Amino acid sequence: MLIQQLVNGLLLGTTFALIALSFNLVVGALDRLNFALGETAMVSAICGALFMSQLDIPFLLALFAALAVGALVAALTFLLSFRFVSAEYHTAPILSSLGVGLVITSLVTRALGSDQRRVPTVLDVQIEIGPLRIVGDQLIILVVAALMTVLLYVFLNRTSWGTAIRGVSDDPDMSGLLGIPVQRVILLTFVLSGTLAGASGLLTGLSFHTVSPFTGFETTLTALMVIVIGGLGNITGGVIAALMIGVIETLTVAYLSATFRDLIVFVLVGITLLARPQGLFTRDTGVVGRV
Amino acid sequence: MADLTLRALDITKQFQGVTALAEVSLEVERGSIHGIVGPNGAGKTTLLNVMSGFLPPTEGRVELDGRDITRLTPQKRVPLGLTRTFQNLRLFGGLTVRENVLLGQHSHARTGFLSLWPLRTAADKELNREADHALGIFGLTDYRKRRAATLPYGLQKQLEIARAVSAKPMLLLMDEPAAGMTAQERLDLVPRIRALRDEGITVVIVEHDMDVIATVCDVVTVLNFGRKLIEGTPANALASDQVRTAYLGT
Amino acid sequence: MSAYTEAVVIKLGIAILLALGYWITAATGKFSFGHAAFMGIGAYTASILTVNFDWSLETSILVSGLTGAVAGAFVGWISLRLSILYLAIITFAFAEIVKILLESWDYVGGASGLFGMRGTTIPLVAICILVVIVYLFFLTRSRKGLSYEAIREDEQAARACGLGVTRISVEAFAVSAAITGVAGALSAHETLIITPSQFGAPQSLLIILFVVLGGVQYFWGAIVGAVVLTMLPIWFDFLEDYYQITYGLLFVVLMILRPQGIIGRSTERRFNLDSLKRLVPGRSGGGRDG
Repeated sequence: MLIQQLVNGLLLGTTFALIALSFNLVVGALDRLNFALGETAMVSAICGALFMSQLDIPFLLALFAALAVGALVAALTFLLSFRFVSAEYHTAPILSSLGVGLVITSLVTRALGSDQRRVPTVLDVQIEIGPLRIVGDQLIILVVAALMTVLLYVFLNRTSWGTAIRGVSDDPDMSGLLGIPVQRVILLTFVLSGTLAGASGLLTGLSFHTVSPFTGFETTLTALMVIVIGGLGNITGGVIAALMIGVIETLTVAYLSATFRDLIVFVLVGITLLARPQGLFTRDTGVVGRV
Repeated sequence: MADLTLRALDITKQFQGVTALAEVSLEVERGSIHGIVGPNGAGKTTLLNVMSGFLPPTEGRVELDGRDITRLTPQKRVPLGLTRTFQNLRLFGGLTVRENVLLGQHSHARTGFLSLWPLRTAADKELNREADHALGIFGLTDYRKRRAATLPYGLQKQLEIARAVSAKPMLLLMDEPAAGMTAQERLDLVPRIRALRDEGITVVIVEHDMDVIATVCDVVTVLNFGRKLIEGTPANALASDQVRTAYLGT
Repeated sequence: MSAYTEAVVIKLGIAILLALGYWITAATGKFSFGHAAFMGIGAYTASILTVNFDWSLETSILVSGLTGAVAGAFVGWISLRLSILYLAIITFAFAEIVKILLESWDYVGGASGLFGMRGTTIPLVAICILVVIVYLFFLTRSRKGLSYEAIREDEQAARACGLGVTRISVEAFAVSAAITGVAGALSAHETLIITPSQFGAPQSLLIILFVVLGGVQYFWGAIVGAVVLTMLPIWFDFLEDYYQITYGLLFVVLMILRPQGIIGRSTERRFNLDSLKRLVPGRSGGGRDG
């Protein structure tokens, strides 16, 4: 049923939106990529899953645990790959964060094995609205994702720390001169991005009822596709692109085939890069050949 | 009909709601030394960036020797005879002084696969000689093997000019050449600019230092708030009431 | 020479080729995050030709170089016009895409890959390395090499000197991809089996590490990096299990302590107004230029 697939697609899109947001925050703040975010999402998800399945901890607490793990890992990544890396070498932080991602994956597989882990169902209900059938877990994903996005928006626009983050994204030198503790604000940005990644990881795990230690790169790849299409650093663009891709992927799998799913997204990215490299939803700010 | 090297016609530049330049027109006569002045934020550097291709204008046209170059990238303007220097110095810091000058010659040199040493032709050898000659003229011969970043500031400014001139331009755009210079260095600047003109290079100088402009320029264009305020000889333009108001605010 | 020693020498040779190939594009200051894709493209091209069409290894290697160059020109042209962030993303994604496509393509065996390639010898690898070194020797002494350095130092200044920055960068990228493709072809005919998973992100990162460890200033630095990193797990075999963790950590430590690599000058102190900028409590990642 088309409506059903659309809804499923949107739901998938919300998990994409969270991870895209997490990447975009860092891109916006530092004009850099934290390549370890995919692994950050993964390790948060695994911790959350462990708490739920091994320790019988209720979902909400496990979710907070995942957010905390994500925040911690992101803060660590900031320290290791960004804070103490010389500003002269533009690619160094990106490379370093890739390294961090590798280390995370290795540590997780070493400590906890390479098996997939089950994420138990949280809300065992089904709601039927006309032709639509929504499962309890889907509702949870939707609510959590929506809540986090709204909270993020409110934080960025209505609080002083949020404004500081936007200031630093816009003009770090000026912000510094105005007395804003730039490094601390950047740390905060990373922490925020880590919590978003953590949420994305656990929610995705909930959606498929499984988490695996090897999803790091795949998550990163998906997030990168989304932010390229939405526009690097463009927060709203990223969300729209995420939902769009969620729907496209779901529809492709439903009506065409699974192999086409990846292909179509790649083609979309290719088109975006050729026709409108600043992103489908970004005004032309001279991205090409950044003068 | 004056022989014009450069014409900027009705240049408008807008950045997301801020109008940096509004319908500015400029004509640079061949062989002249043309100054562009104005208070901070007047749009001088923006105009220079548009003329040199580093910023596309929102509206308007730039013509070099009668030819429309508005949409050309900076690198395509160099072989046509237009080079520039930068206010904040953009040297190749890690490369030697001599290498910086050699790079200035890029548009005249062969850099295809056949340029791989040691297949050096007479033309290549001539270029290398010219580079060494330029180093001599700008007082950089003793420093030619030093990394550009290790040079004292004054010499770095010289190097940037030497590099720009190595491209054998017909027009050189200078962005605040006197910035950061000591009083003595400013005094030395004037004859150097005149020497450029003697070599047949038309010079456009964006500058803050009124003394330099007054001493060396034939024509001065004064900008204020992105518009052309007045234009004329330094004696006329700089002394005018409008300019005084613009700078002093009364 | 024992079979084991021969295998090690060939592995070393291929690592050196990969490092030198990557160095060429790193020399322009452009860092690709998915070079293993070109290695894979070269490996598969050569393998299809030798196994399915009975071509000679030498000719197949040449063709791999060509396909690598074409792929490199394509990816380079799309991404080198844009910022380094886009370059990182596009090359990373390109590698993953190639891997996924290969996994779903039955003609090349899908995830199981191709097998039965043989024929790489030490002389063959040595000749390839020699050709590349001769090229690099001339490159680094020519105006072309100088233009690469200029782009690495300051792109805007390079434009102001009339350098076609994108064109030169794409050219370097294509040559780099070609050499990487050749290395892939040689590797395929040494390991006898190739699967798409061999050409994923870990391989790309390893190639980057060769060059980043050795330093971008001199091309022979890349050789040093390749040798050290290839011999390390052989000299210290307990490292074999911890390979991934070791390089991950190596990247992190290197980027903090010595991002310019082991070989190469330490960072310059600049005697101009720019050094004042560092005194401003700013962010540690000044990616945006004024």
